[in-house]
Amino acid sequence: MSLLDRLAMIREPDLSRYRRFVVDGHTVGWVAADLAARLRGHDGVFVVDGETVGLSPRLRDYRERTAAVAGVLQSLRADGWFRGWRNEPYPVGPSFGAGLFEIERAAVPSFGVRAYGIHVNGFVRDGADLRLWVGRRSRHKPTYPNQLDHLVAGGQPAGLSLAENLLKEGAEEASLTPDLVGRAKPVGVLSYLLENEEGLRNDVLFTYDLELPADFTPANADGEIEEFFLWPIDRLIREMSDTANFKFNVAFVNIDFLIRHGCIGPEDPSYLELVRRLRRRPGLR
Amino acid sequence: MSLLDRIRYCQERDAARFRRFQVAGHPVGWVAQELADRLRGFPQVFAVSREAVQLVGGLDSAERRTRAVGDVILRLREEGWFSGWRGEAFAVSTAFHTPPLLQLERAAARAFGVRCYCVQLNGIVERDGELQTWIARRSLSKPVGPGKLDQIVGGGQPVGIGLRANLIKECAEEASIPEALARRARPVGAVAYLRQAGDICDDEVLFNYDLLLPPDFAPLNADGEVADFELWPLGRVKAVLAESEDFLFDVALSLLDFLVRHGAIGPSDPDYIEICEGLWSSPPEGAA
Repeated sequence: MSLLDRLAMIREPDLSRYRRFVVDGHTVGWVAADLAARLRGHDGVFVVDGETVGLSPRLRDYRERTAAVAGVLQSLRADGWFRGWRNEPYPVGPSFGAGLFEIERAAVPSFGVRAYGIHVNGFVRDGADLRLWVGRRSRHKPTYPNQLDHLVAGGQPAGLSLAENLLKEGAEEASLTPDLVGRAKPVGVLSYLLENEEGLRNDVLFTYDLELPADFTPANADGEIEEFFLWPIDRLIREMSDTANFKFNVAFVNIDFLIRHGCIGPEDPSYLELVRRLRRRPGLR
Repeated sequence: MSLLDRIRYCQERDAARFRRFQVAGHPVGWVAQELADRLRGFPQVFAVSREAVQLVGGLDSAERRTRAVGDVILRLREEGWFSGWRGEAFAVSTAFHTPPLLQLERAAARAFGVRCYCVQLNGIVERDGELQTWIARRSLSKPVGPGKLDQIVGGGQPVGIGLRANLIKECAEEASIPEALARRARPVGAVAYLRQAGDICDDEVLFNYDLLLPPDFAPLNADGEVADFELWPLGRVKAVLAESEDFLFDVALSLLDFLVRHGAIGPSDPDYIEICEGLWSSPPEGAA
């Protein structure tokens, strides 16, 4: 067992099995054949051909597209298409901050739409050593119940800036004050395109480091985290190497954290493969 | 001009001008068409086809390959094929930690488009909570990138020495950083690119290190490879990277990683996602 096992799922999907989801001339996602076939039944909203899924040209703006697609998704939901309905709108568009319409979060992996999230590594210095705050997700979460998570992490919904989302998630998940959240430092982006049981995860994670005072103790406010642990790095590496207890993409961010802080070095034979797998091949949207 | 231009420069490709260089069935480099045609003149060493340049089957050990290829390279050197002869052996292998398939003079390794490994150090000073970093201007006598801006320490990874030992050696030669201080350098990741332009394919992996230096430390070059050093705020590094080609292009990639890790480039930069994704644009080890 090794850290590399946690990145084994980062494999380039065979996109020939998907239809390009094209809106307003932009590729905004990838739709599997069974869903594409189902969408043919809604030809007032979706336009499906052998290679692409598009939206009807009748839908001219953000509001019209959002409303029409929402109607179809409700009908699919009634047929049992999506797990863990959230009532959280996610923007769909060619790039970050350039939304063409919104769809419900639970449908995002089915449409292979690029989704954005924030992940905060909350850590404490202990002399020269680091300790990382780890949360355990509630057993009632619709996705990845009971799995290990970051101090603060969340999807990026429509209508919030990254800074606003950090404040909101920081308060809800760990009772972080705005003053503490303000110390979070952006440290990069992890992006990947992979297939899992939810569908196609086409994600961009904005990662942050937040150094916390030794006397800080997180308290969950929204019932989504059951408990928190403050783990030394060797404990974190052992858990990461020997188990799949961390939520899959939290493991990605943890490995990036371990690399950036020199807790894993190039003497490790898997070092370059770890670094490489955490970066998406350019051009693969 | 923008920071993304520094990424795009590293991603230039021109596959039609190159043939794959294969050793023992492994793709290990890219040879320009003109050099590939010249290698036809050495059929006892190279098997040249329209698609690939291979070593002949009889060369079945690293020692035999190194000797046979070394002889050809000396002949080609006399014909003026290689610039910047170094007298430094580079290991050719399918991955960093696998045994070499052969060794090549560094200048020739570049002409064969072989993956090179480097160590790059960010020399950091913290003043009033703000980070600054030491920037070097390369000597005008350097064969590669004379007069270009550089990190405080950087160097190719030669055969027969570990990364850490090489970093310590380069720290002493390039900036007179004492060994005890150099040992505190922290590995912080790696960046990589593959660039094909003209008749050169650069395939490089840069191991990045950060070293926090005392505010009263001043680097002093000992080997004549650096003209001078200056301490820069990160904002100035970012501005010069965005507005000019003053930094050596591979150093620019390493510095973009540095600026991202320290939050000097962040989500409010319009190209943030593309910059982060572009920090590794090379194929996997051992792959085509």
